[in-house]
Amino acid sequence: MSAVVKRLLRTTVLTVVLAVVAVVIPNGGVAPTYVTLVKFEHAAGVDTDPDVIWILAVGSDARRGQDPLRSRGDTLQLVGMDTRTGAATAIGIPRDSWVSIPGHGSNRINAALYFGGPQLMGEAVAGLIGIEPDYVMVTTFWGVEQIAKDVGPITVDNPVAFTDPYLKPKGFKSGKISLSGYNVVSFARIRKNLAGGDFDRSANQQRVLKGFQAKAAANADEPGWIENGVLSVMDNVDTNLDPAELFTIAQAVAQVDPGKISTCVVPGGIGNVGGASVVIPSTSTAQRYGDDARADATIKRC
Amino acid sequence: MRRTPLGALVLALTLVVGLSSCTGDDDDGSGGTGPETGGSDTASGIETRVEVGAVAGKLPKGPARDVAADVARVVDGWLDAAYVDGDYPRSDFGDAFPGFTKDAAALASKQAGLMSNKAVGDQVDSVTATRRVVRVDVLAPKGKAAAATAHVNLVIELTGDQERTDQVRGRVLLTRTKGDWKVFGFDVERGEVRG
Repeated sequence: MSAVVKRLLRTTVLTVVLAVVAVVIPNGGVAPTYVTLVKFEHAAGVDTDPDVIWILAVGSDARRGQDPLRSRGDTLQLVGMDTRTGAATAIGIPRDSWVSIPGHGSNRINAALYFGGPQLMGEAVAGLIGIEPDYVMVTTFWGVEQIAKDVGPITVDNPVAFTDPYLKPKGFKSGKISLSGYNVVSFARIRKNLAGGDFDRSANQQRVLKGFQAKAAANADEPGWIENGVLSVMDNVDTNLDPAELFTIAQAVAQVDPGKISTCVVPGGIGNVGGASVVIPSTSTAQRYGDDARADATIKRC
Repeated sequence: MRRTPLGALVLALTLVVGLSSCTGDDDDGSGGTGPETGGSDTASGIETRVEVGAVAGKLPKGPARDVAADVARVVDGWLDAAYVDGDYPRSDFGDAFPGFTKDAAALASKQAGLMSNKAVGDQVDSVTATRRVVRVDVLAPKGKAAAATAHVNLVIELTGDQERTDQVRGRVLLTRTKGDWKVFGFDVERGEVRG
């Protein structure tokens, strides 16, 4: 057989086989191929108890070897979700806010974690905002970094470029930027070069939370993505939630409506107590945020 | 017999065709490639193909298959009660959500046009399932199954005044409490499909 005939035969057989593949594979299962999707409508919901969940997310300033639950709580975000509506809110609290800490007089709010662990931290926040968190989740710099590595890059909308000579010499550009691993932590941690100091840092932490939420929503359909995310949180966060509760909350996070997310930072002025610079929080505004959001996890205006 | 390269190619492709045809892969684009755990008996149409999806945590294959089968049984209860079973034309869908928590059932009832056949039940003479696939991702920290996501792909053919083929696909979310799996949430879409 000549080479030309062989090649022709080979091509013909290959064509036939590929045609068989094309025809047989789609119809080889139990249903025909569906090529026209007329219209798909969507139903979603998550049953949580209560319907509006409040979680206090605490970033401990513990270093390696220190107990994260007996250090200062430097990142404080009270996060609410209304699973009936898909609304969510985050109320940021500057760490230096001078508040009453039950049983310990007045102090910076971040000291509550050191004095009495997650329980007292939750009580101090409840005293300021007027909402007692259902759950307290405490993590560390390296815990957040590991979670960020596990879930992959997130996108944040950064309003102002900033740098830090120690944490991020090259800085972060303004606009939509992608953050991974260590950069997630440094973006949420840097304070000194921000015009609004701790207030702006708290807002940046909320941008990170929004980035994680968007990531969860985008990947919830991926096989095992939520399940593995929950394992990562279990490995890197101290929490009073059991695995099923964490899973429920993770699914609720994935179903949050991005158009119904509101974020505010408790405002205040700079004060001086015993020679130390502190934030004197606007307690009336803090209480208003709590009153606004308590029932539906929505703050109408900051 | 000497096997030529061409013969090997044909054999390989034939095997691919054969394997693909046998598995009848889910067409939801999510690439369900986990091991099958066998079918789950259903009342009408075809039986459900149950697959083990991703397992987060150290759960051996055997127990994972058992979990998938248990989860699929609950999900099947919903697929039957909401879509496949019942005397059509049918207007009563009050029992469409067995295995759901009370509040999840209430949420589903508010969206019953998608989460059941309520919107078309009285215009339909028969419902036949032509595809039922449930792929189960499992959360099993320390080897103990605590939660699961059931990826559902159901295709039903409706006859009667509403003569059409619908697909119901998406995620059904379950947790296990005291040994029982309960649906606490869902993220499901439904639409008409044409071949």
